[in-house]
Amino acid sequence: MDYVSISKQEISVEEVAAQASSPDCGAISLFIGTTRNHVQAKKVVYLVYEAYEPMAVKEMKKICDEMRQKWPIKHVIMVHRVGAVPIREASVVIAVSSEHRQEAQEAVMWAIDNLKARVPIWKKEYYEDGEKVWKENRECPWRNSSP
Amino acid sequence: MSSSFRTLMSSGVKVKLLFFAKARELVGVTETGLVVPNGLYTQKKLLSIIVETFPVLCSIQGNFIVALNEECMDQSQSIELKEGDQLAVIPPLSGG
Repeated sequence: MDYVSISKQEISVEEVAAQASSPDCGAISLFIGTTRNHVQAKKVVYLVYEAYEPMAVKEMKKICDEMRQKWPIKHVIMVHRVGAVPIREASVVIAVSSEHRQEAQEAVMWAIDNLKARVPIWKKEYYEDGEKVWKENRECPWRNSSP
Repeated sequence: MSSSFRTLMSSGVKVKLLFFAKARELVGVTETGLVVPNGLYTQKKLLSIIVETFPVLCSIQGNFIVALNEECMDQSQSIELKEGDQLAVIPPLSGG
């Protein structure tokens, strides 16, 4: 099963892992992207995400398809949150199950790298001092190389 | 999009243009209608039309792409826009 979703709600890691579980699998590999409370010396209060939803869903499904061409995996669950995400909460959770652990682990790493490079989702960082800035993933191929 | 622009370009194809993230903040709207002359369009041509129409996007020129109907375009691709096509201004991604 491939399940992808853009969610306004808090993501339940347990639920995502449960969705990926399967009696014939010996592994579920998880990636959880969470809001960190700092960027270098600056204190982050929260992040706000927005998505071009239909395109994001399409692109996430393409990532699932491509993963299946590369690894023999069972289930892929990929959920990205939009709206404000407070410190410690998850903005993205990816779970992959497979018969043996190596495939699931490799597939999850590849999935998050590709999500960052290809899926039209954006985050704005809000700092304690009132400043805010749109972030740019270094994985994104068309971002200006200047920092 | 001002109505005067639409009148000026009345013989053409009307497409929908969406803005996201920084581009949305700069332009001040999430979407608008845009009438473009009939003809073939490359990514480069679409970018220049969008910046011409919304000069405020100059500040991020070279740092966004245009998606067509929820897909990225190849640099070499030349497409004919159809009525109702959906273009989107896509600044550098920052999901995850």
